[in-house]
Formats: sequence, C-alpha cells, structure tokens
Amino acid sequence: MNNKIRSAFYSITTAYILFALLAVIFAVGSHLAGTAAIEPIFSQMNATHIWTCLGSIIANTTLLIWLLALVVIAGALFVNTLCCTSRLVKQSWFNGSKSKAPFRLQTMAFIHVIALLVIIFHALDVGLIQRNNPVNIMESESQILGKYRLQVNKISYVTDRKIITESETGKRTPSFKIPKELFSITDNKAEISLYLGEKLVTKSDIRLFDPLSVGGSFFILDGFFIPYNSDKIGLSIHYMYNPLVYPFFAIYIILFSALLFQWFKNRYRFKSINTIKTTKRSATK
Amino acid sequence: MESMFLFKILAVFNIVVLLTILFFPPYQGKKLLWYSSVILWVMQLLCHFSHAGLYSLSGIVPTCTIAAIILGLCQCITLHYDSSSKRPFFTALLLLSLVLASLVPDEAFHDSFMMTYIFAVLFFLSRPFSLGFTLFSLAGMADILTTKSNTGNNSRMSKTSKDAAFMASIIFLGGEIIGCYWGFLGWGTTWRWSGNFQFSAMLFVLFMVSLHIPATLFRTKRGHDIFFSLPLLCIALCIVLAKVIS
Repeated sequence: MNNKIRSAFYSITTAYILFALLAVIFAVGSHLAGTAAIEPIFSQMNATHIWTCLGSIIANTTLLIWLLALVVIAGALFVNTLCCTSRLVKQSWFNGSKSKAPFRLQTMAFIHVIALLVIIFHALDVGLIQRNNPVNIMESESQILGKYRLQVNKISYVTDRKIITESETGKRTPSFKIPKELFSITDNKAEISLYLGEKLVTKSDIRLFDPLSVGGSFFILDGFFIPYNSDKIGLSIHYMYNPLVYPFFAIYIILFSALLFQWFKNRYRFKSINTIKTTKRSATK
Repeated sequence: MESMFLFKILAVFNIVVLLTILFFPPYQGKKLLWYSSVILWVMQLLCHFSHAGLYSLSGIVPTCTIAAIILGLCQCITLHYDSSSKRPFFTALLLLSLVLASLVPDEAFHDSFMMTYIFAVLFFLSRPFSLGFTLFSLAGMADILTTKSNTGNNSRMSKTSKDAAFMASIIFLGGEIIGCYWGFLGWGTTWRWSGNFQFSAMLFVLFMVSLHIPATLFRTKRGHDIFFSLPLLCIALCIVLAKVIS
C-alpha cells in the first residue's frame, strides 16, 4: 500500500490528474468570487489576510469546502512535483555515470526546481504576507502605519476635483476608474515623510502605481479624495510588509527565461519530411 | 464611426478571402491569399485603434484581431510544409470564427487612465498572442485528428502543434508575471482572491494539463491527441467568450 502511494506521487499521471482537478477548482472559484455571500469575504482576504477572515470562512460551508479542496490539491501537486523533480534532478545532474544526461533533461530539471520555488513563494505570499486596510490621511496630517509614522507634507492634484469629491454618503469614484483624458499619473502626487520614532527615515513623492518602499515595507497609494463639504484634499493609503516580493519576481523571471530558452533549444525546426529522413539515414550510417 | 464602417468592410473582404481558402482547396496553399488575409487583419486593427484608441487592448476586437494576425503569420511560415495537410483549412476556419467574434459590439469600459500603464498594455497584449499560438496548435491537432493514417507528416504536425502550445503557455505566463507586477504596484498584492485572478489561474493550469499529458495514459495516440487538444480548446473558448460576455 505504502509503495503504491509512493509510486503515485512519483507518477506524471498523478500530476496530470491533479492539474485537471486544480483547473476545475479554479473554475469553481472564479464563479464563487462573484457570488454575494463570498465576494465580501474575498475582499477582506485581499485587504488584510486570510487568517483574519477564518471566522467568516468557517461560517460559509461552500467557501470552506472550496478552500480545503484548493489547499489539498495544491499541496498534493507540490509533493508530486517535488518527487518528480527530485527524480529528474538525480537522473540529469547526479546520475553517477560519466556520460552526461541530455541537455533537454537538465533544463527540464532546472525548470521544475524553479517551478517548485514559485509554488513555495506563492504559498508564503498567500499565507504569511500581512496587508492592512487603507487609511485616509489629510494634507499636512500624519498617521501611524506599522512601526512608522507617515506624514503627508503636500498633495499636488491637477485633475478636476469634482471627480474625487465624496458624495453625502461618503462614496467616491475610485482613482483607478478616472478616464485617461482627465487624469495625470505623473502630476498627481503627494510628498510624504516617513518617521521611525522621531527620526526621519525618508522623504519622497508617492503616486499611483509608484509605491514607496523602505526595507520590506511598501506604502501604496490607493487614491485621492476630498470629503463632502470640504476643500481639504486627502490620500487613501495602505501599507504592507513583504520582504519576499523582489525574490518572488526574480524567480518568476528566471522561470520565464528558462522556458523561453527551452523552447528555442528544442523547438521543431519546420523541417520537411525528406530533410528529416535524410538526416536520420545519415545518422544511422 | 467612419473607421468602424471601414473595419466592417475589411471584415467582409476578409470573410471572402477566408471562404475562398475554405471552399476551394487549390487556393489553400496560395501564399498571396494568406498574406492578404494577414494584411486585412492588420488594417482592421488599425481601424479599431483609430476608433477606440491604442489603449483599448482589453476589448474583444483587439484580442481577436491580434490573435488572428499571429495565427495567420504562423500559417504563412509553415505553408510550404502544409501542402498535403488540412491545417490551412482549419486555420482558415478558426480565422473565420475570429472575424465573426471581432464583429461583436464592444461596449466595455476601456478609457481608464490605468489602461495607459505599460504593464497593463503588456498584460493585455499577452492574451491575444497566447490565443494566436493556441489556435495554431489547435489547427494542427484538428488536422491530425481528421487524418486517418499515422504518417511522418502527422509527427511533424504533432511536434509543431506542441511547440505552438508551449509557446502559448510561455507568453501567457509572461503576461501573468507582468500582471502580478502591475497588481503589486497598483494594489500591493501579487495575487488577489477575485474572479479574474482565478480565471487566469485556471487558464494557466489548463495549459499545464495539456503539456503534462502522460504518453502512457491513453491506449491510442488518438486518445492522447484528443486530450492534448481539449484543454487548449477550452482555453481558446474561455479567452474569447470572456471578452464577449464582458
């Protein structure tokens, strides 16, 4: 029995079945994300952390089953990839014989090692990275964000102010939805200072799509706003601690480059049948 | 309005060219027809951009048009070796489907400033490129599945189809990495619990299903080929239908 389980994890057929199941799980998840009961829970999971939403997840049986299925299948796929990759690495890099393993096999082993790292980084990102709800800070005011104090020195906003003015009920158009003709991504900015205790850590401009990073902490501008019946402008900003983000993208870029390399190295070169036959014949001779 | 009228006229010309390729087999190997189809697609794309702007890449029209240009170019490159195969027929059939899909009225919101962001542009470009290669792979597999004998031509077709599927998955992954970076800079998250992200993850996993099919799982090569093609068909339908529905 143990041997059967062991060989199942070393099997490419298992990988195939697990990939197919994972595709089904993501298809179901894509549908669930739009349902009224689950959408708010997902929003909260995005804004903060999966662990802060455990109560809501447990209360929703459909979401709980779906998440468990996702974790089990993704976990099994990770173990399966680990087993298959370890065998591939042994065959291609440490095969004990003097003859080198085919280059294709070596690259495949490398790609799978990187793929494993990608899975690990995704799991760490989803499971451990702490995000925080956005806070509103008015011009020339400050707020504590984690261990830092963020001071908004000056806001330069050149777009029509009506667009970002809140309604009576506090609603406003998200900055991301402002039409391109009306919004300047470069000129709409804020000058902020970051303090650790009383010590100034950095002073910098912050824009949409241009977060401020200090160490592993990121301060991300969500948008500008003007409260109802007010002239003062403010920022909506959130921070997160994610020291893994640059290694995460570095690994992804290595994976992408390795796959491209593999394609160029091994692609079928559109040879005609006759050319292939001739090549084979001369190789046999 | 005028440029969209011209777009429709060009689409009609394209339909005529593709129907000629489809129903008159001697014309399937004519390079002139294939190149004229690609040129018509390029002109259609330019008409669309002059109407909706360069940053409307997320819509159905640019998706179908760019995918069709890639598919057409791939077919032009391999046309010399496809004289005895049905791949040109299936490519023409897929191109015809893309013409019809590109005529679906696009009323989605494309004018957010976010669409001008370089990572957004690259992300939305990756999808039609990936779709083009996926469809080329499917055209080859359709040829294999409708040909009875297992000849050397089938082997070549199978290899080029797998190469195309592999390239489609690489481009798709590249787009996802760019999308992750875009998401990180804009919202601070590389992954989000949302329908869009899970839909993308599903499409990428479907590529993995197709590329990880075990050689020994099916008794016949035909079964293997069918199960290689099914996820790709699903991906192509999902990309196009998602745009139509949105």
